[in-house]
Amino acid sequence: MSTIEVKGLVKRYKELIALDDFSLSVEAGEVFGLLGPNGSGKTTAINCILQLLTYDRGEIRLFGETMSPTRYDLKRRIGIVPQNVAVFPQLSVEENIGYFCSLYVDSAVERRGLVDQAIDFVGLEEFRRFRPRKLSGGLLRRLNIACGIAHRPELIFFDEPTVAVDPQSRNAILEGIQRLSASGSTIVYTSHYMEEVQQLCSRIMIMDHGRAHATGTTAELTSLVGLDDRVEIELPADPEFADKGLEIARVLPHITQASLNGNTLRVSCARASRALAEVLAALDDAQITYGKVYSEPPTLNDVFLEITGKELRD
Amino acid sequence: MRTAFVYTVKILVRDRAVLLWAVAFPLILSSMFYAVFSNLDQIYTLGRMPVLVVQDDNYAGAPQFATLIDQLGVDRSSDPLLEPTFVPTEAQARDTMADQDFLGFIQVTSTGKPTYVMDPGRVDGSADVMDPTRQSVILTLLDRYSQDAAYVADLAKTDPSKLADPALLAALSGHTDFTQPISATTNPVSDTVRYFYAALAFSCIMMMSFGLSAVSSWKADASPVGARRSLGGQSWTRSLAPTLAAAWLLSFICVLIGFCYIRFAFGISFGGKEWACVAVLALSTLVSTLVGALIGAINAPTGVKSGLTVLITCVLSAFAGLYGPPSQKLGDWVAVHLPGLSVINPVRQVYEAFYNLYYYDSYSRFTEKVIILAITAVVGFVVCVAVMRRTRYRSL
Ligand SMILES: Nc1ncnc2c1ncn2[C@@H]1O[C@H](COP(=O)(O)OP(=O)(O)OP(=O)(O)O)[C@@H](O)[C@H]1O
Ligand SMILES: [Mg+2]
Repeated sequence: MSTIEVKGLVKRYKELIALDDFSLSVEAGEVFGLLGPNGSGKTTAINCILQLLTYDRGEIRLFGETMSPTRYDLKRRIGIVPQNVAVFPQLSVEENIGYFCSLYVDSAVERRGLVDQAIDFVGLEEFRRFRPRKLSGGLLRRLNIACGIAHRPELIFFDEPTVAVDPQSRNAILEGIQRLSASGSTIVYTSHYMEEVQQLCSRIMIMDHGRAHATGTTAELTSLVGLDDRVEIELPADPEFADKGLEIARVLPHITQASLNGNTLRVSCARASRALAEVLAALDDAQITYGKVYSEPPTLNDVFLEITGKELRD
Repeated sequence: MRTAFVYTVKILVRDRAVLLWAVAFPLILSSMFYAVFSNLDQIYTLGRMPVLVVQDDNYAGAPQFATLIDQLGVDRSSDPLLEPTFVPTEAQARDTMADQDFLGFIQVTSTGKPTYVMDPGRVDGSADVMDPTRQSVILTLLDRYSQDAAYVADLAKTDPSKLADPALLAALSGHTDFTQPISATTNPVSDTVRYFYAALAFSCIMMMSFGLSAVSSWKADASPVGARRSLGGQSWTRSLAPTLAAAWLLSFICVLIGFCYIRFAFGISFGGKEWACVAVLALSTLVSTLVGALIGAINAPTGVKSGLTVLITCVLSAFAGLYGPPSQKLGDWVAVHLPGLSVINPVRQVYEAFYNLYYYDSYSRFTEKVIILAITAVVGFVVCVAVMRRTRYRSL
């Protein structure tokens, strides 16, 4: 049984199709990354899944049951950390967490314990009685997270929780999410940040224009797209040698592409380790000396570029 | 439910701007009315006019005049016109007048005729706008006495029998008519209370800012916190009821403060039916909470919504006569000719409820107003439920 099962979701805002036959399946215990540029429909998808937005078509099942606006029992098992910080400026850190926790947990005694744990979890002990306006952007994000997770949900949606946060706070947030995952929560994480998703998520969906373009682990995605590894070899500064090196590389069987950038030879190959040995051997044979050699597997960024035809970061 | 109630109260109470206005505005408005009306009363009242009277031999020789002075000042314990201070000589009168605060001095001449000398400082350039009036009242008074005295003296010579005519005597003793203008310039009580009732009705509807604020942070498409709340595991009924209850309670407390201020600090009468007034306040703040909630539910920027509440408050209050005689006439005209419009105007209904309590001993007209307000509240509640029960939105 999947924790989230979305099939054929279509959502229109008047003319604009925000979700176009969107399907998603998230298994229990996963950290699932939803990767997409601005306006690709990540937030819309979450709001449809949680029944805040109407949708034109589609089927949504959570925890194996059909989701509807009045399934408060299912909603109680879900946590949401919205993209825009949503806290009450009139309430202190502690009270804000208490308020949002009260939407899920009825017992005041139980809540007190949960609020303390949430404060501890995001490291806001010193700021318990602070009002949100006295918190920095990063602390505010942490408060936003605490409000979403205090009731210990089984499934948590994080909608771009690290936007406009310094690297230190970002690491704290990512580390927190890993801890939540370790404690058994299923996590859906949306972001534009490739490295975060790559670091955090067990599976990733790349979406654009409201459509799911590809889903899988990073390795699966790269092989799915069929991107080659890239190797860069520094050749002697003499252009004669460099040109000769390029010619040699071009005719090798495993090399799919070769080019020169100054005196750096760039080759793409299906399997880097084997191709690299071939190239270097051929260069040795031709008595061309070489300097540094780099080899790197394709990144998610390359995958993204390949799939959507654009850079992820704006 | 209790938790949601407590949190909503905290959120509303800590919204300093809303709270401050809700508490302060009724107080400011009624204080302004009080200042205007009590000053008007004082400004256009003669008050007790301080004069010096030279008590010399001539004065002793005019016993009728002495009686008049006594009548106007000393004897009439209630509402005396003059405040005479007796001095033995003219010279002393002039000195005293120069030093102290008197309008002038009265002296009887050797012919028995009273004359009046004004304090030059209290004629033209006087700080008190009523001083010229006071001076002329005293002059007229003395003038009339002289005429009467001359007439009586004449009559005594020619036809003494007429002196026994009661009608003549009545006419002659009419000097005290001078007290009449005093009450004529005082605002009749009824006019003054109208303003305070209108102010209170205005305050009740103004309290919709609480309902507005509470629902703005409750409804999913009205604010990010509202959207966040909607995603929670609590049904809309369980969270809306305490939210509205909190907004209503604060509204009620705030108008109650205003009411107590008007009633006890200014002593404005509510016909001795204070508890009925409190019931009206409770009901009308319920109406305003619901109206505010409906405005809060609109998917529009906060500024637009607050603007709307101000507009509604001001327009509806016009028909309750808040802005003086023209607005009172307008409200009365609408109440007579377009009663339907009056019925749907809660401000007018609150105003009329107070007015009826004050003017009629029977509660029947008052009850009518209360029923209208109750129906308005029920309608408001039904509309609110219809609007708020929506849990999913086309867009946010
Ligand atoms: N209320 C709305 N009315 C009309 N169009 C909307 C509305 N909300 C979102 N959209 C459109 O729907 C599309 C998807 O928006 P959505 O917010 O889901 O994207 P996103 O992936 O979350 O983007 P971001 O990374 O910027 O948060 C966008 O083209 C957006 O312009
Ligand atoms: Mg988004």
